[in-house]
Amino acid sequence: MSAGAARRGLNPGVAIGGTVVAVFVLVALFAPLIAPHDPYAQNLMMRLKPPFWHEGWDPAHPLGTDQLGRDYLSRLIHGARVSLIVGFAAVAISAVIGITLGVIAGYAGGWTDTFISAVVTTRLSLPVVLVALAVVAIVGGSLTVVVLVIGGLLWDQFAVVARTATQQLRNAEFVGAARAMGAGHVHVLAREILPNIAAPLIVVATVEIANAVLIEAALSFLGLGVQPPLPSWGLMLSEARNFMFFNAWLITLPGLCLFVLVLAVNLLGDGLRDARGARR
Amino acid sequence: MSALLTIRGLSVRIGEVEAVRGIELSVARGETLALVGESGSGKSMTALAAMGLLPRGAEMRAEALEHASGAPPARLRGDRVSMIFQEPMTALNPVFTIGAQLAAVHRRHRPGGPAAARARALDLLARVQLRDPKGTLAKYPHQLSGGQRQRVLIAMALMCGPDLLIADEPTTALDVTTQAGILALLDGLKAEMGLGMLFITHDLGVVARIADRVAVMRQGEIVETGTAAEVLRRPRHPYTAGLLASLPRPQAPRPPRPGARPVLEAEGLSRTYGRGGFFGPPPFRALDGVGLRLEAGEILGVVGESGSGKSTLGRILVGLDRPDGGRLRLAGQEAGALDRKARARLIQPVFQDPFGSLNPRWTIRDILEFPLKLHGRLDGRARRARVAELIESVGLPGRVLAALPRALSGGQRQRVAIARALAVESPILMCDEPTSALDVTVQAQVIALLRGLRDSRGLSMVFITHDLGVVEALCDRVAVMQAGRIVEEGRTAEVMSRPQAEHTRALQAAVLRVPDAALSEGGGEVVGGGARGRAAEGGLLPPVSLREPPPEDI
Repeated sequence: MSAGAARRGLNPGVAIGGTVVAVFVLVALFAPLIAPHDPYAQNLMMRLKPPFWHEGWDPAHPLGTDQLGRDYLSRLIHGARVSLIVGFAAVAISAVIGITLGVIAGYAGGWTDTFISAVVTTRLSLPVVLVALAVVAIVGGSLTVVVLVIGGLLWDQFAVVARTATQQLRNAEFVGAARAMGAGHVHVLAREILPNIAAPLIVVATVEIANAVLIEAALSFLGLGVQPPLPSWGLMLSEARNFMFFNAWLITLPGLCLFVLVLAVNLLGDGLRDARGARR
Repeated sequence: MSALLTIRGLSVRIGEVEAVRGIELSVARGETLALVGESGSGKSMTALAAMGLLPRGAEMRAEALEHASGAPPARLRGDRVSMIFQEPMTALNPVFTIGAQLAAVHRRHRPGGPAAARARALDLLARVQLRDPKGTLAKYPHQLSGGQRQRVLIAMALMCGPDLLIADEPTTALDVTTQAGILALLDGLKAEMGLGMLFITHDLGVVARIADRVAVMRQGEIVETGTAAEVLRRPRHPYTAGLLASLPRPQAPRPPRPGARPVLEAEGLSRTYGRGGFFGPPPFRALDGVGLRLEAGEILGVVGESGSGKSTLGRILVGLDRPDGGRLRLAGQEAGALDRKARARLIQPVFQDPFGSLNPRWTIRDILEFPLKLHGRLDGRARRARVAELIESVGLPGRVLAALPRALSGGQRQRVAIARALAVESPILMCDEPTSALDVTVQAQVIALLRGLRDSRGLSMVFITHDLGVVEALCDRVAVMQAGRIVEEGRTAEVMSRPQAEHTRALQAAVLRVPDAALSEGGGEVVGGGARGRAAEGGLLPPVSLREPPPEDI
């Protein structure tokens, strides 16, 4: 899809957003190779060293150190892993749930559709962050729990979009031709319908990835997400709260990372949507 | 008297492509000029250029493009020059009443305020022969039928008393009987108001009915101009002759073959949509006790207008819908008792829309291999050989196999759809309007292909259509449907020469015929394609109209 759009004249959203997201993904993948220090190694002698644009910075820690003397750059680099794992894994789970429900509802119609639509409406009436907070508070926070909770909550847009797109294709003549050929419902859904509704679902996925990254940061910030000492940008923001008046970079840097990643993912999504519109 | 509209040296470029070149035409007061051509010939582009409505990215040049008043017609749009479009549903705004939309045109160009606009609208709705002009003013577009909407659009085009009307395929989306009414109305209005009309169409029958003069377009150029009688009777350009020769023409009736076994028998098929009840709309009886009998090697035409139930019948025959009542036997077996695959081996569909009937994500090879895999009787090598054989049997080159459907023309796609239907070797084809989305020359090829398949493979077909001309060209027997029932059934020649039911007579009266002289000069009968179903070989048609356009992306 994005390759197709690129060939037809590069959409700026896809180009910029895609590049930035790709950089983040590469950094996350090769974090142990790139990071100059162990992100968990504490050195209380080197606490709260400032980054390079302040006086008195240490060349060994270009972005300074935190309150426990851990290298901030290394922690940011490893933090990208957490954000991206949560973003992609949670959205993979919600895509499976949402697309399955949506496609079945759109294809079957009738009572099945009414029932699934009621489930979707129920889900839409639940405030995501509050439910996530409640669940994590009961079960206890960990990366796995955060991924499962976010994945179990963000499937509504997938369901809505998949249902509508499937309804439009349900009576397409090529679907009729496959049915008349003797193909079963599973074949029709998997081979005839899914490939044709993939494009709008990819756009939904980008929006939800950005969403999941932000929710993870929020949960971790509130202490109910990823648990220390795992470096998560949200957790880093939380830990830096006490120091923000004197060591503002502790807040600024992880905040900036979150901002750039979410912006890039959204740019990519908008670009994909526009490129798709142009092809119609 | 000088011309109302003069166009000289008009050309339109879209990117690298010169879509229209060197157009010269003029329309006089009280005259209808028909601009005829196949899809992609540039006829609509010419009209849009004249109206200044070209899509973004299109560039226009013209030596002269003038209305009689000296101004370019684009400046007089909606005022002295107005336009009627093909699709009456999308041309009206669904959230405003008819009255509001008519008044808006008037108030933009004429003084007098709402009262004058309303009076004018009432007058025109009566002139376009809508039964209840006052009631219509308060209605929304969805409350009107297609024909009524087209009448409203004509009224809207006339609101400011234009002298030039540009009509772009205004009857193509309508049923034949509705089309006849609209054409009569336009012809009457032209005479009454002294309008000049530029009428764009692909249908030579429409030309014969309404045009004073004709300009034939091909690949962006006008190849022939003349009076309608001249062009239709003595075409000078081979392309025009080819168009005329492609018109479906009656086939010599084949003698009935006593003792042929029936491959499809239906009795009392019924289908009702919706259950009514307190909330829903009232139930709609789409099929009401339909009986059919199709013999081996026979083509049965099913004719009717939209909403007559013919497509519902087709869907029930191929198992895409279930009847509420009645019996259906395929090759002597109860259809309800067959599993889906067994049924697929007895009857296969070919649908109308060559763009919608092939999955846009699959290559042609995938599309043709799928039924072979599903019915799994061949190994990989045999399957590839069979696919090659299938594509050849519908007269397409093997290289299209690697292409996606979007790289193929409409006619090529319809051939692929036919090849897919042949893949499981079912003895029956259910064709639902397979030619009505195609250009006339392509339609002739597809008809020849189907006829060839019947002759060479002994296939039986149920051929659903709204076009009696196609029925005469292809079908051995015909069943006429109206409101979910079969009102007349018999051998084609008999039904056509002595129609019994009133509805058959109405359908027949609405068929627009091109004068016979043109046909007899076209070279006699179009004979069905040969053993392989290669369409109309042997020089009956001039080569220009015969060649499939090359696939774009291969």
